[in-house]
Amino acid sequence: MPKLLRSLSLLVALSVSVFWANGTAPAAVEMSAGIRHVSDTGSLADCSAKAKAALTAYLRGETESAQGSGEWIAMAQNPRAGAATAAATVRCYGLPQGYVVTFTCAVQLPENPYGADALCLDIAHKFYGGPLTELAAMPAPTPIPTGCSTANLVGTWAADDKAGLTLTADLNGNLTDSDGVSGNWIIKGSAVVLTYYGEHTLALTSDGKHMRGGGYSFTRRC
Amino acid sequence: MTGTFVCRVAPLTVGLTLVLNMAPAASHAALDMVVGARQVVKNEPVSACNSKARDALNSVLTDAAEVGAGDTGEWKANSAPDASGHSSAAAAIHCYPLDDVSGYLVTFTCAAQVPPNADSASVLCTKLTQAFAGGKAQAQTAPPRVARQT
Repeated sequence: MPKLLRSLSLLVALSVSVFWANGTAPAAVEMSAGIRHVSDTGSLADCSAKAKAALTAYLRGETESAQGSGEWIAMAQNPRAGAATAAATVRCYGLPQGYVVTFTCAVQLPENPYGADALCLDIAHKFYGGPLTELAAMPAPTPIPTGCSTANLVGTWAADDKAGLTLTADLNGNLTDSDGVSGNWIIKGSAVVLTYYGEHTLALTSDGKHMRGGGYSFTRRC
Repeated sequence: MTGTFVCRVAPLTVGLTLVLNMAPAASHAALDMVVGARQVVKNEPVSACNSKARDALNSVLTDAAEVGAGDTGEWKANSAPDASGHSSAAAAIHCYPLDDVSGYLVTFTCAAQVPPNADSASVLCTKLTQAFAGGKAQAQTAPPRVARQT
């Protein structure tokens, strides 16, 4: 019987922890390929100039993969995702008469506010002419929570029993103390697990202002 | 009494510790895209490019398909979908006939979301280029298993 209880405890712990550990929505890479344009006139340099201009209209940081290659890439940062979620390449190749250019785009969904096809179509139309569809703006960054929320630990916490010791917790589950030592935090209900010089389980008070337990006691500045 | 309590709590603590240590650190998934290789192959028909493009894509990714209608020479494939049906990598190979050299132009373009994809876009494109050239195909590195909220 005790063995069964121990096994059940382990299973419960594993299940609860898996539930806590990951709240990330599944994401996917969407690629758009297939737009190719052949021009009977113009040089590789002409294609390059247009490629750069077309990319600049929708993305940032346009870069030629090797100088004079005519192969360009650019990205778009997503402030809310905190990372790039859209990118495109425009690749020019000089022909005996004119050039051929291909457009390939990729976005990360669901974070990116528009699809890869829409991006590529706009870049291609910007390059050789055609109707342009306004792309949705990148979302603004998530505002950092303030106050004594009971849903997170974001903010600065002062140790009640050790003068000068503070912990600063961020939105991503990281924390740093006043000496620069880093750790992590997780909250589920009113239970807090701090990974900071080992793991400590604390209880958050109903006003979100205090957490105590595991040999620690902190008060949030809010 | 104390012994019983310890016996019951210890596995719980061990479980929590194990899983929390296994849990992925919070990190931002970022889109990674790369301009892969460009090659001019002489004295070979573009149909050979199409065939090699399809095979290379299928050896590294899955479900290679020619984009559009007819012989476009533009091929695309995605990584195997995860349990929720999402792919974290994709690549395109473009074949274009070059009459002046009786051959073709081929380009490789890759994108990946890292994490969870184990291979960067650059590594993916390198594998595709090698597979296209007839090297031993290296399938995409399997992504690490990630705990998923249900």
